[in-house]
Amino acid sequence: MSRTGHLIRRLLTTLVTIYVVVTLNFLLFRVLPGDAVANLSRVPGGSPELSAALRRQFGLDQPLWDQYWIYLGRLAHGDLGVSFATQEPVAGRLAEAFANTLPLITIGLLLALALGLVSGALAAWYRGGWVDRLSTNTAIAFYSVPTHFLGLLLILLLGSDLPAQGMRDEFLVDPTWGEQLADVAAHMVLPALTIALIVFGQYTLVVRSSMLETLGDDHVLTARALGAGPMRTLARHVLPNAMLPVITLVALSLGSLIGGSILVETVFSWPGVGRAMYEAVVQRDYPMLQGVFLVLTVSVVTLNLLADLLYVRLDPRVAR
Amino acid sequence: MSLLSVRDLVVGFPSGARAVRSVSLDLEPGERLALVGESGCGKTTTMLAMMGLLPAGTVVSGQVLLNGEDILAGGEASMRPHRWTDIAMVFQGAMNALNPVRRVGAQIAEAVRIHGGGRREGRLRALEVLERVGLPEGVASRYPHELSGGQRQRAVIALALACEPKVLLADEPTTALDVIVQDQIVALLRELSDSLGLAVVLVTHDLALVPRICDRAAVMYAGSVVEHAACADLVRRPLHPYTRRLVEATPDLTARRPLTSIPGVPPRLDLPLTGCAFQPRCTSSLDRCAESPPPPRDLGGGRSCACHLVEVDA
Amino acid sequence: MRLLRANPRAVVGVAVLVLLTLAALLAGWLAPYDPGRQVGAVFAPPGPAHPLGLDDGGHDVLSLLLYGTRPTLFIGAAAALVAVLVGGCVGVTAGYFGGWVDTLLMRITDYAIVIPALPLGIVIAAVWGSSIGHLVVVIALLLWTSTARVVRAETSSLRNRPYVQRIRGLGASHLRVIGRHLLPQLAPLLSAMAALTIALAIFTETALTFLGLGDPETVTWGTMIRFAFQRTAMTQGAWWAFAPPGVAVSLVVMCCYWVSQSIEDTLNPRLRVAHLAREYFKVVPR
Repeated sequence: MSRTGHLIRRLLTTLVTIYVVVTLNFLLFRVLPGDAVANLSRVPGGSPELSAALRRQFGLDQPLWDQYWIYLGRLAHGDLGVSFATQEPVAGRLAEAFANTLPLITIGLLLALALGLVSGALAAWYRGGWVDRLSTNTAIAFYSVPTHFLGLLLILLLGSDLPAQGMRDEFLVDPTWGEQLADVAAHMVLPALTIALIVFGQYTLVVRSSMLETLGDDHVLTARALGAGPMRTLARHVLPNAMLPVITLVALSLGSLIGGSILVETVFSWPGVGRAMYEAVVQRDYPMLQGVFLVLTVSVVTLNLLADLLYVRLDPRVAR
Repeated sequence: MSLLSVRDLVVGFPSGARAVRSVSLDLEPGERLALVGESGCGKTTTMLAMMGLLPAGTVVSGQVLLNGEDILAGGEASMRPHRWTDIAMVFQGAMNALNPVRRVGAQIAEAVRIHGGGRREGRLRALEVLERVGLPEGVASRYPHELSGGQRQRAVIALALACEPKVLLADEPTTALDVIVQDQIVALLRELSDSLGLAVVLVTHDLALVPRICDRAAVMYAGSVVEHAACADLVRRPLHPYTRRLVEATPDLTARRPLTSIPGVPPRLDLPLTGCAFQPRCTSSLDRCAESPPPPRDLGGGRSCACHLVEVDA
Repeated sequence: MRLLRANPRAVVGVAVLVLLTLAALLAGWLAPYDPGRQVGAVFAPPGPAHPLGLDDGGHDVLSLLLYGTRPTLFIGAAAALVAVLVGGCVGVTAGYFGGWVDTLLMRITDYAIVIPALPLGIVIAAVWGSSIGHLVVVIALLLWTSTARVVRAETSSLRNRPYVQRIRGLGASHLRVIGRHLLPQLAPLLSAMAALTIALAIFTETALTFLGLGDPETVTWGTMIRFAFQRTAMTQGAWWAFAPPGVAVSLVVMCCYWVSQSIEDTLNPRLRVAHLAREYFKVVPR
């Protein structure tokens, strides 16, 4: 019963959070000191006429409350407005970009998890030894490197062997389906690797400390007392328990993962959501920027909810 | 030949502390022995050493003989097959002894499976031992945090019975339980020992508990056994000054006398001892108590005591 | 010396940070060239005259790096200061007063935490316009939440200690209890958070600047990387145009992390013994 209660409460909080985000998205572009349209008019070629036209187009000449209701109404119909740069609907462009970003982030995340789990678990197991020092220091080093700098370094080192720009080679002649896939995969290596490397440091450190914590738990002593060998104890009594905090960690790292993907997509010209955000910034394309922000934030909030539900499923103790 | 005997056990931690300086114990089949002493005197460390469960870096010497075979000498490898099938343990703090994210029944079944039992056998055995310790049927599919304190303690005892051990080491099994539940656990331990012929080593700081379960008792102070006697003798006529103070500090044992506490603190474990460990706190110490440590003296009738004063009396 | 042996990372971290601060202060003396003047060919490689080569505009990279230390460290330190101040105030207030104040403040913090930082920073900086002052505020706005959480937890545990309860019972004012009794206890935690926040602030500055949201008038380590990227230094093999600022950022972040970690380790020493280990107890014959 209390589990269901917990789920319902979490669901409600998520909905409220999404509402807050939606409202914030509205306010940021209207209430902040730098008036969006005023900034726009500073773009070369801007004029008072353009500015007035824009105000009318975005409904900025109406009272704030009316604007808010119109905004909510449009949003409810999936209408994110029209891009200022391309005059196309933002929603369509974003859906395409989202489809390009998803595999990149997923593969990066999985790679980071695999690296982080192995190096964190090894560090904890060989604590105090050279393996521990090596893996902790590597983790801290990658934690400290700015994402875009790492991306540039990888291009410098591997850019001659692997494609470093875009998502596919436009000059392939009559590619088969398999060739196209291989092409995209080759283009994905460097950006996915960059994403993986920047978050794996965090994962390593958390997995290590979680493992050390669990190794000190009394039930691990019980498992050894039962006569379980070290491998069985690790696999059945340490790792499953130590993995629980890692779920929370992954959820918490989603924000930085998204932030990282903006930089990575910019460096590698990957046509995803992050790249769309960068282009929107450069072109001062506010409807687009607003759309990207909304999509990113709502995804993070939703994924957080999913992570929480997973945690509740796996940890029987959560039943507040 | 005893079922289990510990000879000259010494345990040193990496920090330099000697948690156990010299412990020798003997346990016959079905016998119940108490190990009594203040917190930090090395009782739990002795138990962990008997099962080879001390943390990495700990240095152990001495012998742990099971049916005459030294199971300590081969380290972890020679210990592991005897764990739970011969010697099982009820850990201090039942809350943390069970894995919080696995069902109680599965944890008991795992003990059976580690020692070669099948899946079905493990499950049946789990239900059997849970019933044996008086827990309702549904407990097997519950998680530890869903049980009450007393139920959890019973579950931990059931876990200990899983592989039909010959020796049960019970480390403070009743601490942190209320008095009524304490009584039930005490009765359960006695009954199990009687009906299964299980030898029990009860570790406790509570001297009042000892005569209710055990036949014999060993009193530990600062890592050594200072006195060894049948429970009745120990309580009625303690020989070692420390035991005497311990008896005086325990309520309910002798009626109508003021309760006293023992002044002073136990010696530091990381410094070597020149004389008797209890000498600084002893009210009747002699000159030589500070100079040479008293060796344990066998007084016959299963009684021994490590005190210079006892030699003077004798 | 004893400190060095006890905690070499913290000492190295502090030493590097002090050196960098000195470099920032003495940039005018140390820099061999005027960072704003073209002194040679575009992307000229490192050589005796220019130890770190020249950038896309023919400027001396070493001089740029030295001068760039100033605004970079300033933005990092100022943003961290504001963030820790705000976070600290929120945390202390929530933890000390508890009740609905706590619920309200923590609810706001929860919302702020879940919004991904960099996108939010991008949006604010893009709409508000870019300058160093704006950057400081934007970064502080993104980073105050974790300090608020940690400080709140610590404050509310301190508040329930018997001696604080007693002082409150004696009729000391809230300000006095917080100022005289809680803050001294919170100081190490706050400095650990400050060190970590400086690292994150510099990180965020380079990221925002890279995306074109920095102050275009000022040379920071962030703008150096941005210009190198825009003129495709990485595909021309001109590593010296972006590696020095990149390494500098990484170094500062790592040092801040070490310092903050050592403070935390001192606060919460972990003494737990692992029950499962590679090697087991040793048996020695008597």
